Amino acid sequence: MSTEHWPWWVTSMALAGVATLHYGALGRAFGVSGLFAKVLSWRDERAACAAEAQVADPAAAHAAMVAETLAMLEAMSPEEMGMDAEEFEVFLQGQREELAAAAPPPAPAGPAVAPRAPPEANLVFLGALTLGGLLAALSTGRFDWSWSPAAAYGELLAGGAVPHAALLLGGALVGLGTQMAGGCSAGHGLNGCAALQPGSLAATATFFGTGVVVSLGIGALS
Amino acid sequence: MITSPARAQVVLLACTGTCLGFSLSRAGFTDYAEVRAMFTFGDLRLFLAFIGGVVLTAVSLRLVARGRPLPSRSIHRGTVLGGVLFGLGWAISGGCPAIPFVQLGEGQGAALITLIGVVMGIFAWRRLNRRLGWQTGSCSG
Repeated sequence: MSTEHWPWWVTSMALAGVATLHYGALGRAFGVSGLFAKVLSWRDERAACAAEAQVADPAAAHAAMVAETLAMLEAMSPEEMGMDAEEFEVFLQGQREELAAAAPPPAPAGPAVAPRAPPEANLVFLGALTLGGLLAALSTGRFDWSWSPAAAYGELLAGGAVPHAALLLGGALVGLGTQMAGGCSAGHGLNGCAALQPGSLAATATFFGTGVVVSLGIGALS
Repeated sequence: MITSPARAQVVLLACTGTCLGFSLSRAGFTDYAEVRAMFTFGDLRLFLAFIGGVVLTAVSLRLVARGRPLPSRSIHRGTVLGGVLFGLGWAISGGCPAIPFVQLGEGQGAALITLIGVVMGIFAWRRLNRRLGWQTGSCSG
């Protein structure tokens, strides 16, 4: 299997290509652990999307506010305003003209940042990862469904249920650790380090360093 | 792009997801033996691939930024401890959060167990952080 892997520089270009395509189109860097967590909080994300859509379109928000203000004024009676019917009509007309003349706030200048992705788009991304893996395996003729952990994995650990328990524990640590650190090898490692962000450089040095120490430790034990 | 409907984002994320999954698989990041070889310095290919990817991304993000903000990530209380736990999990399970999805596509059924673990870990953090209340800053999608 290892003979079919890309040389390092092809992988580098592919990783940078994906990161650049995502950022170029959406104006924000991608992160898999954050996106994964958003899929798991589907309902909150839906609400956040709806709230953001209103803020993102100042002209529509302004128009809605004008319409609401007019409706409120028209619903009032002249007596409430301390006017007679004729005065009230003049007042209403004045308000209509004033509100119509008020300019909506300008849209934010510069290249736009796309609104928050709807949760279904994030789920599609995770599914697409699986599709990508399938295409890679099919195109190299190494697709082979198996429930048992990879041979290399089994060799390292005692047989039976130990490899499965290790996968579950390892996965849980990945979930817990990436959420606590606020990013994974994509958000911190690739994008955050590329932007020279101190939090990302520290997190990446930590998780790579720990990976090295633990792997060397596992090797020494087994 | 600000007017792009939700559907455009679905198409774009389907595209980047497929490209990323394909690349991670072809690179060998989904192969436990390869990841182990990276962490034990037995084979520097994946290390170089990652470092090269960061350098190229550093250049290309700035080229396409056109005044938009680059990612901004400061150090916080969870940075180092979270990094240690993630590094431990990566070395044990062989996967960062994207990897088990790609492995499933390759036919590695056991990745389903890793995925269940990741979901458990994310929910465990939410429960824990309800008490801690740490601001960890999250990756955008």
